[in-house]
Amino acid sequence: MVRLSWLLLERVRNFRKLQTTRERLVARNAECLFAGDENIQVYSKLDGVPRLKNQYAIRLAKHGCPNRPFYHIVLAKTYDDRDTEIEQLGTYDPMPNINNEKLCALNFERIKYHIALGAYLTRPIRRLLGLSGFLPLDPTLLIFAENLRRRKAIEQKIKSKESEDSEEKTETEKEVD
Amino acid sequence: MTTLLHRFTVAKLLRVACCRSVYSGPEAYPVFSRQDFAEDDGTWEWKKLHNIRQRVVDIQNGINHEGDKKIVDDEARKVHLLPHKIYSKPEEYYPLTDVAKVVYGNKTKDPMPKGIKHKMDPDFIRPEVQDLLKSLTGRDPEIVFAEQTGLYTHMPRVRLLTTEQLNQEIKKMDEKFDEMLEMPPVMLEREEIEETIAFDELLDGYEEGKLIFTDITVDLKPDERCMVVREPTGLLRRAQWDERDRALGVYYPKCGRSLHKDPVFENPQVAFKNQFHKNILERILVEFVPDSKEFIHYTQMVYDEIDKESQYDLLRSTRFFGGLAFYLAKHKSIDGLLKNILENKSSLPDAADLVKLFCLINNESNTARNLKDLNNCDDFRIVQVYVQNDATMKKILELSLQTFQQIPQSAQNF
Repeated sequence: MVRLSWLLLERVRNFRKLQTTRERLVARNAECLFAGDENIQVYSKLDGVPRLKNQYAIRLAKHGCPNRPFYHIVLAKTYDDRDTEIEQLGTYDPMPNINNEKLCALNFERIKYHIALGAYLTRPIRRLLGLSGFLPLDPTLLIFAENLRRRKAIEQKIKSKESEDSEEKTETEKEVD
Repeated sequence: MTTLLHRFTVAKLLRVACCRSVYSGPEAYPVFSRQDFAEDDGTWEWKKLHNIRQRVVDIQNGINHEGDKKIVDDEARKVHLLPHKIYSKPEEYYPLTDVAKVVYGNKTKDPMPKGIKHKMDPDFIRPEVQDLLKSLTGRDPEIVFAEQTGLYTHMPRVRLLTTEQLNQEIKKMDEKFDEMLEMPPVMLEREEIEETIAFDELLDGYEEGKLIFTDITVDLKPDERCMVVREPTGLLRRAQWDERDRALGVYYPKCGRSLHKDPVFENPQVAFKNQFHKNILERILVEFVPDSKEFIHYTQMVYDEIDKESQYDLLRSTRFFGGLAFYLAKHKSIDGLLKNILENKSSLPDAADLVKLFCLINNESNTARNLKDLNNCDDFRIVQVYVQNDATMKKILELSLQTFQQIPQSAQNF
């Protein structure tokens, strides 16, 4: 299900812009039919899989020490505490080692079994399984990567401008001298 | 009467006979001595079985006695008491039902890409070469079964044995000799793995380091385990041999192996001064796989050092001598070893075995052409042909050969 909002009215009141909108639900993959209109906005979550209260979930359980996290990949129910588990399915170390590697272990046989019986996968698990090639890539990862690249480009531009300004200043100082 | 009595009843009777009184009368109980039962083969149960087995054999051969029918009926009744299938392993008693395997698919067995296999050196496998290497190493029990520091040793035991038992013990020790002198394999260097699975350009720069994924399914051999690397450029590829060994060391460690390299293998001068060549070779065997670059490089380093200093006695009658001899024969530098055999050990057949090894591995050399019939020549002739054709230290070897020259018969009679 996908949630759309339609803009019905736009008015100005005391120099303030107000909008009246209405919402409606639409079948998944049907929002392309409404893509042409400017007044329609799509308010759907990209990961739109529902999460039930009583459901087996594969998620990260945080172990380790302060300032040194270490995650176990774990099967648990959604209402359980973060660190309780029914079965351990792997590990993930977010801190890189001497060779600049992050180690992740996955028991693919048991993960297949639990997915087939309807377990819910949280976002970091979906990212890891997509990166390993077991599942297709998660779109949140691609968006995150693109935003990173844009930020880096902007930072580079700022740095290059600052270096140019400093060069100009030194040149002007020399000329003055 | 005497044959039907049980052993325990004999003890009872003896006790009773000792406390026999005047009032019991003469011969109330018969007195038996141990000599009366000397002919007894055992208990009556065993006798019955022995009888039945004999009877069965007679029936198979066609001889009939009284009461055959009863024996046959008894044996036939025993058959249906046996299970209809005789299980050899306890796993067959309790078959585990793996639902995932049956319903949802099989295990994640990932065969090695592009048919990478572990190849042995074809010259090393030949049985003729193996026999020669075994005869060259020698079998000195004082060195093979010497005390090893750190291992628990039992106190010595003294036992009285018959000749048959002695021969059995000697056979056991021969088997143990073969175990201790089992040569580590000489293999060709393994090829690097270069296989890309996918390339996602949109992931460029999402992280600053690599991600290594390993498969932790149970009951997989290290060759079948899938290991995959995702690089920060977005490239998905299979892990190379270094990364594979490191990941296996993290999740499936072996006793004696460490994750970081020991600087002994880079700077072994102090170890060589103190004659720790054998210890270094044992260390290499434990830490590295015989396929790998490091194993081959470091063993060849040790062999070169031994060849330079002519310290062949350090490895004699150990499991590493075969590798030494094979390496030297392959690279055509036997002269140091030959000199050691002729002078220090002074045995011609061992020198001839070395030259035979050289000919088997290097078929196109001059010695091999001249010595086509190795069995017909003398040992002296074989070594002489080698010294004339393919030796670098010609004069030194000729001098050492002169000691083995046979005196002509005319001079012997003097």
